[in-house]
Amino acid sequence: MFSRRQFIGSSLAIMASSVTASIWDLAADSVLSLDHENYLAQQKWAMAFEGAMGDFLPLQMATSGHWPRDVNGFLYRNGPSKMHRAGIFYQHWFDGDGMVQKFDIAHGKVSHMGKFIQTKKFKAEEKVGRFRYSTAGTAIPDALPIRNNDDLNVANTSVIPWRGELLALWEAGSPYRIDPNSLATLGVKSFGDKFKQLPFSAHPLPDGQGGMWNFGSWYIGGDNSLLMYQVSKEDEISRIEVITLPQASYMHGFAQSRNKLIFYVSSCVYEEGQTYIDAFKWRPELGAKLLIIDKANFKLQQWVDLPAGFAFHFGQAVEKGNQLKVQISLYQDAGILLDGMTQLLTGKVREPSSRAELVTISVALESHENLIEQLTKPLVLPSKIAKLTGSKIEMEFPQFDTRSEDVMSPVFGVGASKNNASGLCDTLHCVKIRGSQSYYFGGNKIVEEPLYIPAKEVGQGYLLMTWLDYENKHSGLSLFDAADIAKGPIAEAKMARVLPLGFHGCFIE
Amino acid sequence: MKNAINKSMLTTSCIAVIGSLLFFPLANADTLTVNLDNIQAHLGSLMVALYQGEESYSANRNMVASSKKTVTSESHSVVFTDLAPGEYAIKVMHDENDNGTLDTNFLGIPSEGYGFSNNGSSLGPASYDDAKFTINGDAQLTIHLR
Repeated sequence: MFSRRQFIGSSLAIMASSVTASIWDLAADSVLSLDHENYLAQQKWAMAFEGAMGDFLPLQMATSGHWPRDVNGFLYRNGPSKMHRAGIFYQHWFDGDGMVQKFDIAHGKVSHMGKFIQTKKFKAEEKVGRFRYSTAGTAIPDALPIRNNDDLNVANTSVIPWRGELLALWEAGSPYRIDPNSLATLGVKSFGDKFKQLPFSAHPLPDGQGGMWNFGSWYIGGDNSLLMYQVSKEDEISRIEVITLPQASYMHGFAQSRNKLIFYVSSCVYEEGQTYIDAFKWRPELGAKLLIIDKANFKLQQWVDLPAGFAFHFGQAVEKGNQLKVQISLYQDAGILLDGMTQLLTGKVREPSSRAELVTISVALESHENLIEQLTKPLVLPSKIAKLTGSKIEMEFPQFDTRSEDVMSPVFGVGASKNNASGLCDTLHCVKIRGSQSYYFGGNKIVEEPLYIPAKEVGQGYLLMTWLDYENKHSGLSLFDAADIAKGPIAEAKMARVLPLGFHGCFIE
Repeated sequence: MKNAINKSMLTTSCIAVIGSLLFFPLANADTLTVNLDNIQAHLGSLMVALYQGEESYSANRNMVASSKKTVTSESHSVVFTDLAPGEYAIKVMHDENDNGTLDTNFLGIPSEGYGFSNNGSSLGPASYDDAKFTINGDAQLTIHLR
């Protein structure tokens, strides 16, 4: 009946197949909800992961300080926001349905609104008032079978501008198109029938020609495939390459230098499990690798051996002669993905898991001739020796001025202070070639991704970031002068709303 | 499958049927009603194929019966008649654009609906063991399209 090759299914789908109905009985539902309530009673910060009951209508925020004209515009953010239905609570931060938050900043006034993304999954579950599909980290009792990976698409990871609209991005399926004014969902983004439902990461990078680079990973049926895309400014997938990885590593983002695209192939590897997350195993014996792909020819690839590790996000990557330096928020293990994000949702005190350190990886680039030769001969070039230089700064969500392509710019990110038991971020950091700066937000705030907003001069700009004050049940914005974050925010906005913590966003003037 | 023939179509006269009911053993007399729901696009056609035996099911050959139905709503029913008692399995395909095939993407993942008896397999083809069921008398089952 299936006239083409038997399809192999999505990586996010396999989780459901391994969960039998017998695992679940009537008691399971009540155990999940009871546990959750108990945990909520213990930790105030748990409200950050409670999700939202519904859309947020426009609300004016209270502002203070000086909001410069350079930051008149719109801040959009995306994150998991429907975390429970009918007494069933998701078990992993990745599970929640996406909601786009919009902050309208104009002449010192800031307003907020938020809307759930009307994915196929969200609409189906909203209609019946309960979860119908299993997700990345939660097996739902009596889940519906799925047609393809987009049946599970929660569109909850990032939001980017694209051709006058927004794209709400997941990583295992299609983007969703969003109206930037009303936040209405316009539909599933398609790059043509051939490319429907392909995994599409939440961290595309601009290609400098009005288009973007992006990738997807595909690990079902024994596949170890990295799909590398270039999307043209005309809205077409103009180039695609399927690259076989040595191991089915969890991959979330990538970096670019002038001529290269850089991936970290971690030691967290997809095998089997009851859920998609559960299927990933920590395999330090496999080590990790840096994959360096030539932008002009995706087939030209350099592989570099690295010690075992795990990462979500990159900072800047710079080429100088034949030397490549790339910054990465590097974990010693994958505990944050495999355990930490589940513990966060339970609201209980977390077992310590490794934290990300901003690390610079330096390696000599293979010559173009050698890479060409490798194409025509079945030889494998010996790995260049990589040097890893730690900053001793805990940093996630690294951001920088993307206008300086060939010089390492200051990199900004967030981390948790040493005494923070939850491990949730409370400090903004800036790491420069010489020296670093930090700003601590206090003991009752959780801070999120700091977006770098460039000023007119290269190297000058602002950091705009959101936070949750769980003691006072406020959400807010802080704006910093990138040149001196230690002096604290130059402007702020806050409101009496508890927004779910999110992942990534964008700023549009 | 495109030229589906439903064995339930009566080609004999009513008198002959009544006669057979009265005077002959009921070797092929069972009726199977297949309810199809969760149809996600109200266009195109449903193709329902009934197989007997693992070899036939796996090879998509020698189906016992099949039916093609124009989709007009979220749910439809298909009736197969004159079935002998025994073990069967069903595959359903929703050909939304009526091009006679299950459309797939670059990786071979279906972008059109499908389903199997017993609603086996959370994603991808259900095995014969997951999809098989037994008929011994009139029966009905429901397939949730995905």
